[in-house]
Amino acid sequence: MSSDLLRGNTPALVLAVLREGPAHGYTIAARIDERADQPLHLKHGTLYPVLHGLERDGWVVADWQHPDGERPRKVYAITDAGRAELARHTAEWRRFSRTIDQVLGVGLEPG
Amino acid sequence: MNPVDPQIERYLNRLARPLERTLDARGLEEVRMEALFHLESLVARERSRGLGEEHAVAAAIAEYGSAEIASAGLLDEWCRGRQAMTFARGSSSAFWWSFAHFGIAFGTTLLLIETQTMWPGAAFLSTEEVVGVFAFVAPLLAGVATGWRVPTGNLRALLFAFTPLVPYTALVGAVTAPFIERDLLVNLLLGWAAVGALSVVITAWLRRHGRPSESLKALS
Repeated sequence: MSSDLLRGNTPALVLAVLREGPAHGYTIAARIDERADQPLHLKHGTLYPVLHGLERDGWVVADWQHPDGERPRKVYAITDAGRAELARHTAEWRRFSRTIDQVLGVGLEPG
Repeated sequence: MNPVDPQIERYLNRLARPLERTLDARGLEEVRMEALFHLESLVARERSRGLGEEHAVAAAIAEYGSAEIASAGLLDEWCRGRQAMTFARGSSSAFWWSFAHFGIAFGTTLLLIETQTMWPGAAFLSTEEVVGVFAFVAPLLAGVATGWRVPTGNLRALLFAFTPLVPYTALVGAVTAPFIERDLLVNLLLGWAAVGALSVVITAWLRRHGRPSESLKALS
Protein backbone atom coordinates (compact mmCIF):
# COMPACT_ATOMS: atom_id res chain seq x y z
CA MET A 1 0.00 0.00 0.00
CA SER A 2 1.19 3.51 -0.81
CA SER A 3 2.92 5.06 2.20
CA ASP A 4 1.06 8.34 1.65
CA LEU A 5 -2.27 6.53 1.66
CA LEU A 6 -1.31 4.66 4.82
CA ARG A 7 0.03 7.76 6.55
CA GLY A 8 -3.17 9.72 5.89
CA ASN A 9 -5.36 6.95 7.28
CA THR A 10 -3.29 5.80 10.24
CA PRO A 11 -5.15 8.04 12.71
CA ALA A 12 -8.44 6.50 11.62
CA LEU A 13 -7.00 2.99 11.93
CA VAL A 14 -5.88 3.77 15.47
CA LEU A 15 -9.28 5.20 16.40
CA ALA A 16 -11.00 2.15 14.92
CA VAL A 17 -8.93 -0.15 17.13
CA LEU A 18 -9.50 1.98 20.22
CA ARG A 19 -13.22 1.98 19.58
CA GLU A 20 -13.16 -1.64 20.74
CA GLY A 21 -11.49 -0.74 24.00
CA PRO A 22 -8.45 0.94 25.59
CA ALA A 23 -5.07 -0.34 24.45
CA HIS A 24 -1.39 0.49 24.52
CA GLY A 25 0.68 1.08 21.42
CA TYR A 26 1.84 -2.50 20.93
CA THR A 27 -1.71 -3.86 21.12
CA ILE A 28 -2.94 -1.19 18.71
CA ALA A 29 -0.28 -2.18 16.18
CA ALA A 30 -1.03 -5.88 16.63
CA ARG A 31 -4.79 -5.40 16.15
CA ILE A 32 -4.26 -3.35 13.00
CA ASP A 33 -2.12 -6.16 11.60
CA GLU A 34 -4.70 -8.78 12.59
CA ARG A 35 -7.61 -6.99 10.94
CA ALA A 36 -5.90 -6.24 7.64
CA ASP A 37 -6.07 -9.07 5.11
CA GLN A 38 -2.93 -7.74 3.47
CA PRO A 39 0.21 -6.66 5.31
CA LEU A 40 0.26 -2.90 5.75
CA HIS A 41 3.99 -2.77 6.60
CA LEU A 42 3.27 -0.14 9.22
CA LYS A 43 6.39 0.53 11.30
CA HIS A 44 5.28 0.46 14.90
CA GLY A 45 7.33 3.50 15.86
CA THR A 46 5.23 5.64 13.54
CA LEU A 47 2.18 5.03 15.71
CA TYR A 48 3.37 7.20 18.57
CA PRO A 49 3.40 10.57 16.81
CA VAL A 50 -0.11 9.67 15.62
CA LEU A 51 -1.21 8.79 19.15
CA HIS A 52 0.23 12.00 20.55
CA GLY A 53 -1.56 13.97 17.84
CA LEU A 54 -4.84 12.25 18.62
CA GLU A 55 -4.32 13.02 22.30
CA ARG A 56 -3.56 16.65 21.53
CA ASP A 57 -6.73 16.93 19.45
CA GLY A 58 -8.79 15.42 22.25
CA TRP A 59 -9.77 12.31 20.31
CA VAL A 60 -8.02 9.97 22.71
CA VAL A 61 -6.96 10.19 26.33
CA ALA A 62 -3.99 8.41 27.80
CA ASP A 63 -2.90 7.22 31.20
CA TRP A 64 0.19 5.49 32.52
CA GLN A 65 -0.22 2.15 34.22
CA HIS A 66 2.40 0.79 36.60
CA PRO A 67 1.68 -2.91 37.25
CA ASP A 68 3.75 -4.45 40.01
CA GLY A 69 6.97 -5.96 38.71
CA GLU A 70 6.29 -4.98 35.10
CA ARG A 71 7.28 -2.17 32.80
CA PRO A 72 5.10 0.94 32.92
CA ARG A 73 2.86 1.26 29.89
CA LYS A 74 0.78 4.06 28.49
CA VAL A 75 -2.78 3.08 27.68
CA TYR A 76 -4.93 5.05 25.27
CA ALA A 77 -8.72 5.25 25.15
CA ILE A 78 -11.00 6.87 22.59
CA THR A 79 -13.14 9.83 23.61
CA ASP A 80 -16.61 10.79 22.40
CA ALA A 81 -14.98 13.36 20.15
CA GLY A 82 -12.76 10.59 18.80
CA ARG A 83 -15.77 8.42 18.02
CA ALA A 84 -17.36 11.32 16.16
CA GLU A 85 -14.16 11.92 14.22
CA LEU A 86 -13.93 8.24 13.33
CA ALA A 87 -17.52 8.27 12.08
CA ARG A 88 -16.82 11.38 10.03
CA HIS A 89 -13.65 9.89 8.53
CA THR A 90 -15.35 6.58 7.77
CA ALA A 91 -18.19 8.33 5.90
CA GLU A 92 -15.69 10.45 4.00
CA TRP A 93 -13.60 7.40 3.11
CA ARG A 94 -16.64 5.55 1.80
CA ARG A 95 -17.60 8.50 -0.40
CA PHE A 96 -14.03 8.85 -1.61
CA SER A 97 -13.45 5.16 -2.39
CA ARG A 98 -16.83 4.93 -4.13
CA THR A 99 -15.95 7.91 -6.31
CA ILE A 100 -12.53 6.50 -7.15
CA ASP A 101 -14.07 3.14 -8.00
CA GLN A 102 -16.50 4.88 -10.34
CA VAL A 103 -13.77 6.80 -12.12
CA LEU A 104 -11.55 3.74 -12.40
CA GLY A 105 -14.46 1.62 -13.55
CA VAL A 106 -13.98 -0.86 -10.74
CA GLY A 107 -16.85 -3.32 -10.53
CA LEU A 108 -18.16 -2.43 -14.01
CA GLU A 109 -16.02 -4.92 -15.95
CA PRO A 110 -17.21 -8.52 -16.32
CA GLY A 111 -15.47 -11.07 -14.07
CA MET B 1 12.09 -6.15 36.39
CA ASN B 2 14.76 -7.44 34.06
CA PRO B 3 17.56 -5.10 33.01
CA VAL B 4 17.18 -3.44 29.63
CA ASP B 5 18.81 -5.29 26.73
CA PRO B 6 21.95 -3.36 25.65
CA GLN B 7 20.81 -3.31 22.01
CA ILE B 8 17.47 -1.85 23.05
CA GLU B 9 19.21 0.63 25.33
CA ARG B 10 21.31 1.84 22.40
CA TYR B 11 18.20 2.12 20.27
CA LEU B 12 16.43 4.16 22.95
CA ASN B 13 19.44 6.48 23.16
CA ARG B 14 19.29 7.04 19.40
CA LEU B 15 15.55 7.62 19.66
CA ALA B 16 15.87 10.16 22.48
CA ARG B 17 18.96 12.08 21.39
CA PRO B 18 17.31 14.27 18.70
CA LEU B 19 14.59 15.14 21.22
CA GLU B 20 16.84 16.27 24.07
CA ARG B 21 16.86 19.91 23.06
CA THR B 22 13.10 20.01 22.69
CA LEU B 23 11.49 17.86 25.34
CA ASP B 24 11.97 18.32 29.04
CA ALA B 25 13.28 15.51 31.22
CA ARG B 26 9.84 14.11 31.93
CA GLY B 27 8.86 14.13 28.26
CA LEU B 28 12.06 12.30 27.30
CA GLU B 29 11.50 9.76 30.02
CA GLU B 30 7.98 9.04 28.77
CA VAL B 31 9.19 8.62 25.19
CA ARG B 32 11.79 6.09 26.34
CA MET B 33 9.42 4.21 28.63
CA GLU B 34 6.75 3.90 25.96
CA ALA B 35 9.20 2.69 23.33
CA LEU B 36 10.83 0.29 25.80
CA PHE B 37 7.55 -1.39 26.67
CA HIS B 38 6.65 -1.72 22.99
CA LEU B 39 10.04 -3.12 21.99
CA GLU B 40 10.07 -5.65 24.82
CA SER B 41 6.56 -6.75 23.83
CA LEU B 42 7.81 -7.30 20.28
CA VAL B 43 10.79 -9.24 21.60
CA ALA B 44 8.47 -11.46 23.64
CA ARG B 45 6.37 -12.10 20.55
CA GLU B 46 9.41 -13.02 18.47
CA ARG B 47 10.71 -15.31 21.24
CA SER B 48 7.32 -17.07 21.29
CA ARG B 49 7.78 -17.69 17.56
CA GLY B 50 11.01 -19.54 18.28
CA LEU B 51 13.69 -16.88 17.73
CA GLY B 52 16.69 -16.65 20.00
CA GLU B 53 17.11 -13.57 22.19
CA GLU B 54 19.53 -11.71 19.94
CA HIS B 55 17.54 -12.33 16.76
CA ALA B 56 14.30 -11.48 18.56
CA VAL B 57 15.70 -8.10 19.61
CA ALA B 58 16.91 -7.39 16.08
CA ALA B 59 13.53 -8.37 14.64
CA ALA B 60 11.72 -6.21 17.19
CA ILE B 61 13.85 -3.19 16.38
CA ALA B 62 13.34 -3.76 12.65
CA GLU B 63 9.58 -3.89 13.11
CA TYR B 64 9.56 -0.82 15.33
CA GLY B 65 11.45 1.08 12.65
CA SER B 66 14.36 3.45 12.35
CA ALA B 67 15.05 5.37 15.57
CA GLU B 68 15.85 8.47 13.56
CA ILE B 69 12.57 8.33 11.66
CA ALA B 70 10.60 7.58 14.82
CA SER B 71 12.13 10.52 16.69
CA ALA B 72 11.67 12.80 13.66
CA GLY B 73 7.98 11.90 13.73
CA LEU B 74 7.76 12.69 17.44
CA LEU B 75 9.59 15.97 16.96
CA ASP B 76 7.35 16.91 14.07
CA GLU B 77 4.27 16.15 16.12
CA TRP B 78 5.65 18.10 19.09
CA CYS B 79 6.22 21.15 16.87
CA ARG B 80 2.74 20.83 15.45
CA GLY B 81 1.38 20.59 18.96
CA ARG B 82 3.19 23.72 20.06
CA GLN B 83 1.85 25.58 17.04
CA ALA B 84 -1.62 24.30 17.77
CA MET B 85 -1.35 25.52 21.34
CA THR B 86 -0.19 28.79 19.75
CA PHE B 87 2.54 30.82 21.23
CA ALA B 88 -0.08 33.48 21.94
CA ARG B 89 -1.92 31.18 24.34
CA GLY B 90 1.27 30.16 26.12
CA SER B 91 2.35 33.78 26.23
CA SER B 92 -1.03 34.95 27.53
CA SER B 93 -0.95 32.34 30.28
CA ALA B 94 2.61 33.34 31.23
CA PHE B 95 1.64 37.04 31.32
CA TRP B 96 -1.33 36.52 33.63
CA TRP B 97 0.53 34.20 36.01
CA SER B 98 3.33 36.75 36.23
CA PHE B 99 0.80 39.54 36.72
CA ALA B 100 -0.81 37.63 39.58
CA HIS B 101 2.38 36.53 41.36
CA PHE B 102 4.20 39.84 41.13
CA GLY B 103 0.97 41.56 42.09
CA ILE B 104 0.92 39.54 45.30
CA ALA B 105 4.55 40.45 45.89
CA PHE B 106 3.81 44.12 45.37
CA GLY B 107 0.69 43.95 47.56
CA THR B 108 2.56 42.27 50.38
CA THR B 109 5.29 44.87 50.25
CA LEU B 110 2.75 47.69 50.16
CA LEU B 111 0.97 46.23 53.18
CA LEU B 112 4.19 46.09 55.14
CA ILE B 113 5.05 49.67 54.25
CA GLU B 114 1.57 50.88 55.15
CA THR B 115 1.86 49.08 58.47
CA GLN B 116 5.15 50.79 59.10
CA THR B 117 3.86 54.26 58.35
CA MET B 118 0.30 54.18 59.65
CA TRP B 119 0.82 52.15 62.81
CA PRO B 120 4.47 52.53 63.76
CA GLY B 121 3.74 51.06 67.13
CA ALA B 122 2.37 47.89 65.58
CA ALA B 123 5.20 47.43 63.07
CA PHE B 124 6.86 44.03 63.47
CA LEU B 125 9.61 44.67 60.93
CA SER B 126 12.03 47.55 60.86
CA THR B 127 12.16 49.78 57.83
CA GLU B 128 15.38 48.10 56.72
CA GLU B 129 13.78 44.69 56.99
CA VAL B 130 10.81 45.81 54.95
CA VAL B 131 13.16 47.11 52.31
CA GLY B 132 14.91 43.75 52.34
CA VAL B 133 11.59 41.96 51.83
CA PHE B 134 10.48 44.03 48.88
CA ALA B 135 13.94 44.18 47.32
CA PHE B 136 14.72 40.47 47.51
CA VAL B 137 12.27 38.04 49.07
CA ALA B 138 9.03 39.19 47.43
CA PRO B 139 10.28 39.24 43.80
CA LEU B 140 12.23 36.02 44.39
CA LEU B 141 9.14 34.11 45.54
CA ALA B 142 7.00 35.67 42.82
CA GLY B 143 9.63 34.82 40.19
CA VAL B 144 9.87 31.21 41.32
CA ALA B 145 6.08 30.86 41.31
CA THR B 146 5.89 32.40 37.83
CA GLY B 147 8.79 30.31 36.48
CA TRP B 148 6.96 27.22 37.68
CA ARG B 149 4.01 28.14 35.44
CA VAL B 150 5.70 29.49 32.33
CA PRO B 151 5.68 27.01 29.40
CA THR B 152 9.26 25.79 29.12
CA GLY B 153 11.01 26.12 25.79
CA ASN B 154 8.76 28.99 24.76
CA LEU B 155 10.89 32.12 24.55
CA ARG B 156 7.99 34.35 23.66
CA ALA B 157 6.06 33.20 26.74
CA LEU B 158 9.12 33.94 28.85
CA LEU B 159 9.29 37.48 27.50
CA PHE B 160 5.58 37.95 28.18
CA ALA B 161 6.21 36.79 31.75
CA PHE B 162 8.66 39.67 32.19
CA THR B 163 6.16 42.28 31.02
CA PRO B 164 4.32 42.80 34.35
CA LEU B 165 7.67 43.43 36.03
CA VAL B 166 7.83 46.87 34.41
CA PRO B 167 4.62 48.38 35.84
CA TYR B 168 5.07 46.66 39.18
CA THR B 169 8.61 47.96 39.51
CA ALA B 170 7.32 51.44 38.76
CA LEU B 171 4.57 51.01 41.37
CA VAL B 172 7.05 49.84 44.00
CA GLY B 173 9.12 52.92 43.22
CA ALA B 174 6.12 55.22 43.50
CA VAL B 175 5.10 53.76 46.84
CA THR B 176 8.56 53.73 48.44
CA ALA B 177 9.91 56.98 46.98
CA PRO B 178 8.78 59.12 49.96
CA PHE B 179 10.73 56.95 52.37
CA ILE B 180 14.01 56.19 50.63
CA GLU B 181 16.85 58.23 49.19
CA ARG B 182 16.84 58.50 45.42
CA ASP B 183 20.10 56.63 44.76
CA LEU B 184 19.14 53.79 47.05
CA LEU B 185 15.67 53.70 45.51
CA VAL B 186 17.08 53.28 42.00
CA ASN B 187 19.32 50.42 43.15
CA LEU B 188 16.48 48.74 44.98
CA LEU B 189 14.15 48.96 42.00
CA LEU B 190 16.79 47.54 39.70
CA GLY B 191 17.34 44.76 42.23
CA TRP B 192 13.60 44.10 42.46
CA ALA B 193 13.29 43.73 38.71
CA ALA B 194 16.52 41.75 38.33
CA VAL B 195 15.74 39.29 41.13
CA GLY B 196 12.24 38.78 39.77
CA ALA B 197 13.41 38.23 36.19
CA LEU B 198 16.30 35.94 37.14
CA SER B 199 14.18 33.78 39.42
CA VAL B 200 11.65 33.30 36.58
CA VAL B 201 14.39 32.28 34.15
CA ILE B 202 16.25 30.00 36.56
CA THR B 203 13.08 28.24 37.72
CA ALA B 204 11.90 27.69 34.12
CA TRP B 205 15.36 26.38 33.18
CA LEU B 206 15.45 23.99 36.14
CA ARG B 207 12.02 22.66 35.21
CA ARG B 208 13.14 22.02 31.67
CA HIS B 209 16.40 20.33 32.56
CA GLY B 210 15.42 18.62 35.78
CA ARG B 211 16.88 15.28 36.83
CA PRO B 212 15.21 12.18 35.34
CA SER B 213 12.97 10.45 37.80
CA GLU B 214 13.93 7.36 39.72
CA SER B 215 11.84 5.19 37.39
CA LEU B 216 14.12 6.03 34.46
CA LYS B 217 17.23 5.21 36.50
CA ALA B 218 15.62 1.89 37.37
CA LEU B 219 15.39 1.10 33.66
CA SER B 220 19.16 1.40 33.18
